[in-house]
Amino acid sequence: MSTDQAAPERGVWRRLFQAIRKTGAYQSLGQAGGPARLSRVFSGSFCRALAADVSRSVPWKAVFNRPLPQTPKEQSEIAISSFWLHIHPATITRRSLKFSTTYGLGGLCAGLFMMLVGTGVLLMFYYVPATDHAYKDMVDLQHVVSLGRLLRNMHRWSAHGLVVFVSLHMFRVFMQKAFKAPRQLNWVVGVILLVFTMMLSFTGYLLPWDQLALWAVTVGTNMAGAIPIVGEKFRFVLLGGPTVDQATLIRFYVLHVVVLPLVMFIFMVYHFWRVRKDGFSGGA
Amino acid sequence: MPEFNVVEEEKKSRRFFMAGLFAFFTSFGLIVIGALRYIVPNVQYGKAERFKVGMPQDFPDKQATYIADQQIFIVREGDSYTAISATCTHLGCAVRANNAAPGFFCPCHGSRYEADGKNEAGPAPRPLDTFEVSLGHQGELVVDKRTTVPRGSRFKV
Amino acid sequence: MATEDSVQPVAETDPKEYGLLGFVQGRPPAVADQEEERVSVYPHLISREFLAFGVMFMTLLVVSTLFDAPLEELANPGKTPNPAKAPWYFLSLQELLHYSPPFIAGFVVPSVLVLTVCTLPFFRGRLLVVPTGLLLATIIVPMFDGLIWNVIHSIAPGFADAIRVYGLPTIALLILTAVGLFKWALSSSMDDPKRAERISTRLFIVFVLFLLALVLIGEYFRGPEWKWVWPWQ
Repeated sequence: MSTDQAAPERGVWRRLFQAIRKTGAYQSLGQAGGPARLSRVFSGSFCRALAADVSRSVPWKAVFNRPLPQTPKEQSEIAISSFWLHIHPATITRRSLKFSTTYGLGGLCAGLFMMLVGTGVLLMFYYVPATDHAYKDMVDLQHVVSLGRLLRNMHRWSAHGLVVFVSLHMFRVFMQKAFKAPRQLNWVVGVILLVFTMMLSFTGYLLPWDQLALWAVTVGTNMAGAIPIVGEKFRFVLLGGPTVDQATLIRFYVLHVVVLPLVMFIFMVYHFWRVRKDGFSGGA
Repeated sequence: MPEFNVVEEEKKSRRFFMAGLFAFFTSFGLIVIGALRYIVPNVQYGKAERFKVGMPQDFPDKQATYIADQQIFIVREGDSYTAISATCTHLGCAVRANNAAPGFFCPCHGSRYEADGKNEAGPAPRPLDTFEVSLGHQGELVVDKRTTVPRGSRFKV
Repeated sequence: MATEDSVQPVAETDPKEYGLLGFVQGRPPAVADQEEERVSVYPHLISREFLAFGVMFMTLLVVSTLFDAPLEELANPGKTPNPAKAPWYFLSLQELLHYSPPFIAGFVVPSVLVLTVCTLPFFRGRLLVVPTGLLLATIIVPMFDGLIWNVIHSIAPGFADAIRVYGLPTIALLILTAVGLFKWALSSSMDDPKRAERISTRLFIVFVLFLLALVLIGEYFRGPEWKWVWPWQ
């Protein structure tokens, strides 16, 4: 073992060959206790040395060009200079970090949204929004496509989860009175996000083109038709015709996969930005 | 006073600029609103609104026969025929014929209709539509969903 | 807030003169935070976020493996399933649809709910009971729509039929409720701001419980033709 540390060579391959030669594995494979000696190739010190080699290599340095930050100052710098981390401030109070302050609900909503985008895009590989095709594609996803059933389940349950967690998040903010000045506008943005969550759920509900979908949307859009004066026209535009049919399916599909998620994403980014800009509300 | 003139000129050009800006945004807004016309479809590729339903004698007497494709009932009483819409006037579900008594009920929100389509219970705001029935060239019944006739109207063959 | 204290006496050696320009309403810059202990986001928050996402992902994976998303038979425009239920988060609206015309349950109620929730943070102190009370009223009043309509119908049948579709009694009652709430909020019984806030919080909780109850009723207690059934029936 000690020879590992003493080895002057830095090359990964040379170290690997040396380690294998040292174990005498190729000689002792046929003998008793061979595999046990072979395991020395993967001993702790060897792995450590290998990790050190990798982290010194050129590709690694090109990607992770700075050492892991240790001091608070370095850690703050990371948060400020990294594109991915600059959604957060450099430092936060211990109070905000506590679980009972936020219960992580807002963050979970963002996480579920990402899950929905991921699984949704994958489902789009197989789904065709045509009335004579959509239902067959759903059955295929359930029974023929590898992991299709799992992906569809994940998409559906995350959608339900998003409605639940957005509502819980809102309830939490109300109970802590965290919507007070100067955060009023961000509360309104949050309500808009809840409405978008509902609209996304509703448009997604039609896409499987099963009995559940058709009649939920028939009833839902007829409710919109009950608005005086503009109701009938609005319903006609929403459905693309007098009844739920092919025109409706493609309209809901476009709304569900492009328009609504895009607008919702813009509102989300604004929501996060305002969380940072508004600061402490003095509520709770 | 040359200075005074400069200020006046500046004011004028600013006014001109603001008017231009206003005109730009107004016309742009109007164009966008006008473009919303795009999403209102002009042509429907649905089923025909006027269609044949079958020979008069094929319908069982004193019964409401459901034509599922078109969401209508053909009610025959002797030699007279009525075409009643099966679309609930509440929220558009397809109503069904009662099992025992003549009449219809809606499975969505429990509206009930009498045999001639009059709403008698539940949230339905008005009676079921009655459509015009006529005879085709081969003597078959033809229903026109674009034309409604007063409730209780019958077509005698 | 700039007060007299914040105007520093001018030093003798300072050639510039400072004067009080005016008072400004508002909060001081967030200095309160700086007194609290702060930690760096990296790694303290980032690690927690990764952990939360990991837990969420694994939970989702397990749930999706165990429970299948529903898929019914192919859509058939000629045959409505009995009962035809909306997704669970719309069941409270569908339940209200059972009591009042579509214009009320499908348009007035959701619009009033969303608009009231939006304006919530703009009501301060004792006035917070207005939006929270209105939220609760918006759920409860439509349930008595049929009852109100029957009363009017017994007095003036023709008039009742004419206003039924637009749910005018419900709208009038909602406006009356809003006015009443304003009066209540400004009355002396709300002089204690702590008490006012407590009441508004309770109103909001009752509103949420009502919504929840309607969802549960719609999901488990409604059978064919939207009639009441017990879950074990």
